[in-house]
Amino acid sequence: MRTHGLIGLLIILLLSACSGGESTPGLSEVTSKEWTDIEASAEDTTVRLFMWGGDEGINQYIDDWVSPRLAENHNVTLERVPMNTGEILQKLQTEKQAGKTEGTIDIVWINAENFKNAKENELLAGSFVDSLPNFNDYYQTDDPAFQTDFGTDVDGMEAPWGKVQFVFHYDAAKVDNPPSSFEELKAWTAENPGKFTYPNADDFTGNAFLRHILYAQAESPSAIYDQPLDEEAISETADDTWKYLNEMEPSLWRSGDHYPNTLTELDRLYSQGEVWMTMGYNEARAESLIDEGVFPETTRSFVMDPGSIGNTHFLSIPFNSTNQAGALTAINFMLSPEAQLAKLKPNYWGENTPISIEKLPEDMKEKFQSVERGESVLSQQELEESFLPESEAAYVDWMKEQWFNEVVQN
Amino acid sequence: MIRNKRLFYVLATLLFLLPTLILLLQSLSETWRFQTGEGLRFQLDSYSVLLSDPKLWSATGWSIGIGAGVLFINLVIGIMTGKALATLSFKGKPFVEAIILAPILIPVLAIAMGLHLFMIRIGLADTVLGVIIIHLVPTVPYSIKIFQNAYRQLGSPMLEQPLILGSNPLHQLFTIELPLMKPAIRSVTFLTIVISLSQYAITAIIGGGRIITLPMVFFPFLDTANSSIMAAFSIWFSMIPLALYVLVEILLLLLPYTIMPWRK
Amino acid sequence: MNSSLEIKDMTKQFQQQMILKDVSFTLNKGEILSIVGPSGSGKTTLLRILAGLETPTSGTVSISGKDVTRKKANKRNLSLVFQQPLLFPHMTVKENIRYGAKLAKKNDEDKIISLLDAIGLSSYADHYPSEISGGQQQRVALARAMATEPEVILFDEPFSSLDPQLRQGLRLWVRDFLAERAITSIFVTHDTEEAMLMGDRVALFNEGVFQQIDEPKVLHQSPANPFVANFLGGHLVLNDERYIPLPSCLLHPPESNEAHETYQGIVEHVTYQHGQTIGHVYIDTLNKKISLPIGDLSTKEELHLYLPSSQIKPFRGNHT
Repeated sequence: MRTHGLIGLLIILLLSACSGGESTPGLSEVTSKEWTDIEASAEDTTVRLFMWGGDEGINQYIDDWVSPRLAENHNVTLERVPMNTGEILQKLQTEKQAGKTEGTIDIVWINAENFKNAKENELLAGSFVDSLPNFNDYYQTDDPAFQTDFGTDVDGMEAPWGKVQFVFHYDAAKVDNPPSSFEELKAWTAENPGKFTYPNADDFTGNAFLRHILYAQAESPSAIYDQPLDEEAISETADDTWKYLNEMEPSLWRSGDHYPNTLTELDRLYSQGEVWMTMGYNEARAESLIDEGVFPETTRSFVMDPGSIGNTHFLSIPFNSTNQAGALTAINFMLSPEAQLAKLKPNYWGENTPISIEKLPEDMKEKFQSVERGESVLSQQELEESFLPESEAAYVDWMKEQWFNEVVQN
Repeated sequence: MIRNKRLFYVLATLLFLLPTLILLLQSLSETWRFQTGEGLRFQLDSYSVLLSDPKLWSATGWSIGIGAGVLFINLVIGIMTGKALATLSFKGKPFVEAIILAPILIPVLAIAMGLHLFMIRIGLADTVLGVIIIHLVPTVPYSIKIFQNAYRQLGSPMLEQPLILGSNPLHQLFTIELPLMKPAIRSVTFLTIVISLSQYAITAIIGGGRIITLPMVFFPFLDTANSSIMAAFSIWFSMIPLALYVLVEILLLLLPYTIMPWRK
Repeated sequence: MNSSLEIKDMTKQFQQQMILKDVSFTLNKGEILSIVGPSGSGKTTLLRILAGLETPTSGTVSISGKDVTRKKANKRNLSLVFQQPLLFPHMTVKENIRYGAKLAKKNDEDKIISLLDAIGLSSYADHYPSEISGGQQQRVALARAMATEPEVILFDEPFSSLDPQLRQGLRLWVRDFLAERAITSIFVTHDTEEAMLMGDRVALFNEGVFQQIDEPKVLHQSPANPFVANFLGGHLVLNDERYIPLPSCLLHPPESNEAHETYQGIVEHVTYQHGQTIGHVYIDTLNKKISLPIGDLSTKEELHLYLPSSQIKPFRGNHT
């Protein structure tokens, strides 16, 4: 009886594994068509966009701005599904294993480590960015920021949707002149003990902060971001980095005995006035927090020498999307100057655009340039001048381990 | 005795009532910055953010529906298995009991991956039924244990007595067992609903984004520094177990031989 | 006479152990049988099989001439009163009594009222079990069993959880109650006195078989075997074949020089009962302890017992 059940189960598994063979038409088949045909076949379909849903501004941008316009202009219903990227990849991974060719996800919002995993595990449909008219028309297609994503070759498998840059926030009511270099930051911290700290290396933002110090201690930042991780080669830089951090530690919040576990914790400390500075991997994020009364109205941002790291985030299509034409149509729309302009405006999201402003028609160019992003956001020029690319993803894990050994243990 | 009672009220106020009130207050006011000398600033924005989420109502509905389904199946499985474990003795019973408890010792997520694969193959992935089934994994072991204890406490003579008086098992269930196990039913209700309601990862994976429950809307906001929105969400969140609890309490009143609360 | 309850060749085996071995007996309508035996002798198992709570390994149970061996407990026309009252705590006294009657479709308000009256608890009809005393609870349990109008009522040590004074009163009350209504019943107890008091006949149960079933008087006068004689007391068992009733044992040689046997004993304890001095005597050669009036002897004193040969009786052999 029991063995019969097992055999039965095996047969079911085998059968379903076999049935995984026949699949929906490949992405290349769709992208080889004329764009107008793609848009036409997308009409009257539903596109399901899976993305992290923890920011009301971002959610509202999709629900209130993108969705209605996509429905009106292209007759495509866009459904936003809130899900953490980790779970999205987990789901795709299992579906891949089970041979499920008809998935529920048409678009994912993705970058960095997650993109690397997805690409390596063949969870993405394939190359498509070259077929998007808006990408070809308005973007600097050979920009290195679009060619590699944290050191992983993009290969046209994801389309740049936005870009963010790391900035520090401070309360101008308490701090007159924010530091302009990491040396000055150390001096400022010594003068104002307990008023600065950073999230630990496990946190996304904390790790990025630490990589800035690595950049600062190197001969030049490019010695890090242009090189794959080689522990031997950077050992001197690393030592300087730990020295810097250890010297700073006694003046940190709670004398460095405890580091905030997440950016959220640091933000709360800042919002309560415990510390006078916070930071974030999004140059405009303070705006909505000020609006909501979480951050003081006197919050401003600053960047320091040698610069601030920025990255691009992307939209991609999973391997088992059942509506690839719809996904292409929606992604193309979200890359359009109109959509990017609305995204840049602070009333929804306020996020920077990867679009090339000089490629835009004159009137659009003006609109972009006249967007008032808010007092807490640095000028476009300042951001561009300080921009530093991300290093390879391996640095992130290296930093997690080393920081704990060198700074916490000491 | 009286001192104990007073101690109970003090502790209950301190540990339960006070935090709830603070939560309520936080949801109605802006982020607190008392050390800077600022007072409370009241606002309703956090609730308008909450209510403006287009998925809030449908997610709440899904959560209630799934919670009710999970509860019902838990009651059925818990009562049947619990009774069997409490009244029967058979070879390998300790082993069976250990197996039944196993799902709460293994991380649900680990089980969910295997089950997800299986559900894809039998077509339960991305369906409500699949989500309900996966929610049984972290809840059913508790329910079985609770009902097993409840039946053990009733004792087998009390279960044989109605039989002797001519009652069939179903009649006995409704006239004797359920009325006498009300505390267990209440525990299972609360536990099951709260556990089911707070499943994020397994709901996301098995529900596949087709089934959007409240945690899927709510949990990403744990990353926000805006305590007011968090508090508003938490208040909303806590209404669901409360509502289902009241519902179960009303259903319990329908059991035979119930003393109506307004009598005596 | 029509048989009310009949058991034939009942055997119960549990794991390797024989708990009942070929037990057979018949009860007539209105008869009360007491089953007495040491704890662990299997008498409760017998009762549970009769009630349908357990199944026999072989044998049949018939009620009013109908074979009910395969029927579940709730389909048998009998009732069982447990050691504990087991009243349903969420029902009033009246609801408790009515519970089985309703299911048997014999729910007659007059009957319930008269039962409440009979157990003397009319004024407690709407009380909950927790609000009445243990003795009252056991009376309600009895009324509840009665209300279904069963052919047979089984009692499993129904008084053992009550205190001795209450127990005495309730025993007599139940006995009269059953006799008045001519209800066939079985009492299981480990207390010989209770067995004698309640039963028209008393059955001695040990090691899975009835050692003897008889009226109390017969049982006492002619025990079937050494076990019966020892268990009931009142006899001195000399060996597997012979015994003598204690009152026939003399503390001095018989006057008429009658043939007799002599045993030496030692007084281990002295107690006082029914106005007499009772010595608890140990007889070394028989390895037996007996209790009998000893006049003015005191502890540690030795004595001789003289047993007239004419009073020594042989066991009758097993009789069922």
